[in-house]
Amino acid sequence: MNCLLFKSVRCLVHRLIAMFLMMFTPVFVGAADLDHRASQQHVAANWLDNSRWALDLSTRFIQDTNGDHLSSKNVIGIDFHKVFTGKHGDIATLVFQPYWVRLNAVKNPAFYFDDGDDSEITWRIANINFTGLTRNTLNFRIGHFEVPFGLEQNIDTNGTLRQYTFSDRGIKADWGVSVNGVLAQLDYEVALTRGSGNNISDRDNPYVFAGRIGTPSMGNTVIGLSWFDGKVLTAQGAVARKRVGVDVVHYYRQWEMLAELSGGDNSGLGQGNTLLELSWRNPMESLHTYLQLRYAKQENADTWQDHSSVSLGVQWKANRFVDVSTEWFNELDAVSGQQTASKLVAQLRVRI
Amino acid sequence: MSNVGNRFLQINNARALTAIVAVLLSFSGPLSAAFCSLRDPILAIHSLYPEATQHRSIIRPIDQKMRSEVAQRLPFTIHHNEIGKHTLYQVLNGIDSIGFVQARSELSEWGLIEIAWAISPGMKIEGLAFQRCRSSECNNTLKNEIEAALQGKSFSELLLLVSPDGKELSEHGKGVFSMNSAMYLLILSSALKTLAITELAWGDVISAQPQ
Repeated sequence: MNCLLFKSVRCLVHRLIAMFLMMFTPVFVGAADLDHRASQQHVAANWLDNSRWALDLSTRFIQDTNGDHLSSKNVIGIDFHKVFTGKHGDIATLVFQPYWVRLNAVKNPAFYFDDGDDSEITWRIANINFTGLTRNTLNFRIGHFEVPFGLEQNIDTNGTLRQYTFSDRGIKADWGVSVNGVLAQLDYEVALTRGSGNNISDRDNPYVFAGRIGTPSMGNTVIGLSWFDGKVLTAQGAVARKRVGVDVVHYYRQWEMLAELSGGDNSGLGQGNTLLELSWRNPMESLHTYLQLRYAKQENADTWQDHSSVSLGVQWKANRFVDVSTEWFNELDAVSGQQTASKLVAQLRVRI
Repeated sequence: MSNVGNRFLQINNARALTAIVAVLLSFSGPLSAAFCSLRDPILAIHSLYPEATQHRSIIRPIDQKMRSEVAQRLPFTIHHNEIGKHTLYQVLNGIDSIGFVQARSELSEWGLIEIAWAISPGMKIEGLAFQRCRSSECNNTLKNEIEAALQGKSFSELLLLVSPDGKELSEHGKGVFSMNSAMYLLILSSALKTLAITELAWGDVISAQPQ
């Protein structure tokens, strides 16, 4: 039964991808045609027109303060953004961010690295969102994008030390398709993805079906409801995960208060997760400090275990190119028999 | 792994990164946040132009030269962090252009305020929408009052509402607005900068439209 379901999901994803490519090839051919004959209409004339691009470089040092271990991560990537537009308006938006990542002595690297001293091409965001079909009320996205769930949906945490709860679900971004839109009273995105993260893999038939529906992100109070149902690929195989969550953001002057609560199970074992964050920015928004508290409750055989941690971070945008950030992370309690983790992370990031 | 790859892995990555950054910074152009965080002002476009069926994004660079030209037209100019690529949204009803929208950020006591401005093909202010404002002053009362005062005004007409040094409202401007709030000057400055930048960077697009 399960096998049949997973095969159906895989088949559906593949068919959707093929369908999108077939459906929109004429659109781009049409757009290209317009590009040639409608310079008067100020339509993009080549790939670099109506685009933005940048080189994104960062180096990050992680000091394990309990284990006296230093590791580092160096990243070089391209950030490319282009709006395809035609006579009748915008057709689609492309975001393309391939990054080369080099690890040095990193403990517990992501499973697509061979070990903690490896290098890999990784994908942050690489998708095209077709926005020209309606008044942005129903868009279609295909490619690699953040799995819609909770706070991550509206706040950019790609390449930053400040992170939210993706580790609870085991996946941040994934290959697949989504429908998304902006309505007067709500924003939404519903996605069906491969479940394998950075690389497309059908090992153990992973998949993710997730979505978030929330109030408009431009408000001073934003509330969202999310769900996540899938089998997420890990080094040991796919792990079934289910979550439902609620997220709330409130902005008051220079203060930002965020909360995300979610619950569900991993392969039938109950999970609960809470994240609270309080942050402050200066009026120029060049300095950002935040305090995060996390609390998780995990069912383990016949017992429940509590797990909590605190993070304190500072991000300083020195100028248009350079941002420097640091974060102190400390586990307040750990699984019995293990030492609590504590680490200090510093990052220099340059976008040019 | 290739020889090139092996050699790269052997060198000190942090030093290599620093050297690359130093070289690239010497001839780089300016930039803003990661592009995956960019959001079009969809709700603002449709609230400012309810009859809009679509919009067309026209992305152009705003450079140091334009910043200086704004300073020649106004007693203030755009922040140097605003140098970079910006988008003008041409609003369409079918294939007819019915106006333009540009979203601009202004520095306030409570952080950046982002305002989406509706601009007519004749380069006059048609309306505004708060995209983001953390101050409790940014409510519909303020928005409606400012919109009523600025609607249909051109760059030169708006300029009469600020003092010659740009640090306060002119006597005429003080008569137009009901209260003495820094927010009026801030929003007026945003409108003036928006019209100036739009003309400098997208003047050809605007002038190609039927008035």
